[in-house]
Amino acid sequence: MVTQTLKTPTKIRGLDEILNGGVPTGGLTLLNGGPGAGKTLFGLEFLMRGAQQGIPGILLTFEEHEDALHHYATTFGWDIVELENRGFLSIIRARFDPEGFLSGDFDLGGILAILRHKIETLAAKQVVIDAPDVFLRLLDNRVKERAELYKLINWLHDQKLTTLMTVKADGGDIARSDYEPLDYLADCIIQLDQRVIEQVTTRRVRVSKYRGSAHGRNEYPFAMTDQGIWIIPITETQLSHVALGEAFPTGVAGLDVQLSGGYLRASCNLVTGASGTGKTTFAASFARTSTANGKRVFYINFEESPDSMVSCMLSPGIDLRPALENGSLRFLSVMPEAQGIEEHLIQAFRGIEELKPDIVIVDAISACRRMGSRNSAFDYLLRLIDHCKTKGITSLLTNLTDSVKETQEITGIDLSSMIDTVIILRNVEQHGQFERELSVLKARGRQHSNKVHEFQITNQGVSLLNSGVEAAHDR
Amino acid sequence: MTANSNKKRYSLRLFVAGNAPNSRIARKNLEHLLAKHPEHEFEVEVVDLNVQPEVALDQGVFISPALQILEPNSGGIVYGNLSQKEVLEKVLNL
Repeated sequence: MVTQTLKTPTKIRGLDEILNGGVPTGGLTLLNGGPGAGKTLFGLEFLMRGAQQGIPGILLTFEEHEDALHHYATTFGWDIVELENRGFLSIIRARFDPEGFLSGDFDLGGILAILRHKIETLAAKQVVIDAPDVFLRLLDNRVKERAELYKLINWLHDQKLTTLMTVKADGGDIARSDYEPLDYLADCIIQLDQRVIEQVTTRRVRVSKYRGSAHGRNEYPFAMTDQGIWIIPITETQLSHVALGEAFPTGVAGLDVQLSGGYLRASCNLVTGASGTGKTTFAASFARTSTANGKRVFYINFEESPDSMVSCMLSPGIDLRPALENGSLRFLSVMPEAQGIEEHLIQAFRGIEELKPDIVIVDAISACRRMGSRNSAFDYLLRLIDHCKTKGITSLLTNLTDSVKETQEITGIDLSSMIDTVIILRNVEQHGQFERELSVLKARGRQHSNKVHEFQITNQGVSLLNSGVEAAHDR
Repeated sequence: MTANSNKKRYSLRLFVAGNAPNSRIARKNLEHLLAKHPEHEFEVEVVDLNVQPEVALDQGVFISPALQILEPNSGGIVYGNLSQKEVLEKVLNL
């Protein structure tokens, strides 16, 4: 018996972390899920990544979609044909003539002979068997179906092939399907799920079994990106967060003093207020000052296009164009409802990976609710902030509150434990005119002012008036 | 069915997987059928998938055993061990 489970990395982004290294080498892994869950794609990417490293593999599919496979591959920029020509990959489409006649029993013998031939030709180490149920169902006899399935699995096992097998299962539950014994025969089971929550499609992956190995037990969101599958990293414990570091100037004259120097490195800062209180101007001020100090800023904008934002900020004297031109500022402008949270997260993570920013701005987090539900927004922000904190990136979030009650409901999405600094902006009617007020509700680990400060937005940017409210009244 | 009057010529290709039970049965069943119809001319090629898998790949035959009818009615195929003789006779128009 095997004492230690040898593993083969799948090189599918994020999957090997969940599997603690990869799929069992020489073992059987089931990819289980409903139609459209992405089973075949997991299999194809596994073989393709292997082939790219010089590990030959074979995809045997019983579905009528050889062309679809090539189409997928093209979409993801994988040159399957080249890998096939070099002998690192082979796709066998086992098809049946629908006009053919049936006369008596048949079996897997022919398919195994063809598979053996291909395996020998390529010296293949890994195999994906896609939708064997399509073939088995032709037998039209439960007992025979199972017998042939055992035969196939035993054969694969004897060949010491690392095998992924896709299985369609109703409700994502093999135990309730015709192929229940698979559950016991498999060394590893990966469940894929696609569901629609409040009109937004989300994809989830879960490892439900891994013989002889620890594995991540949660459900993880994943997405199909233009480079293949991407499973969103695990929400890590706060222990992995980088300690708060030095202060970054906020770009708002007078605010740094109130915050003992500014926003701290690796901290998460929230600027919240009703419409028209100046939240975006605070965010832009921070972006401009930071880029001027040689920092890189990644600005996720759910409200407006980069062009419109840049031109709007010219009137308060915040010119973001030099930073955009020299590449230290990058925008990601996207409508929250345009895609599921997986795609949103991946776009954000990819932007972070490419730019390696010191600062990430999200304007505004209140828009995240339009990603589907309150829960989706929470998921998105939690993972994004967690990612920033782990990487030591300072984040600034803006939040639109709809009423005076903003102090009771800071974010509306219950992120308070993740947030280090909260700045509340208000428009207050006084002496027959609106005045802008700011208060610092929370500044973790630092001295901060408890006063309500008046501030102004002029064509020179944002500045706090020298003193607190009491002094302002004396003016 | 009267002999001689309408003698037909058949070209068949039987795909088997070595001596697997169904393949053995298919060979027997085909032999019986041929013996039953001496009035016709049969040309039979047996392809063992274990020996010549590339022929099956080339022809897209994945189920074994299978009988390909090359002449007449080219393109027809019968899957299985041929134990349902009436199906086979019907397809071959015997």
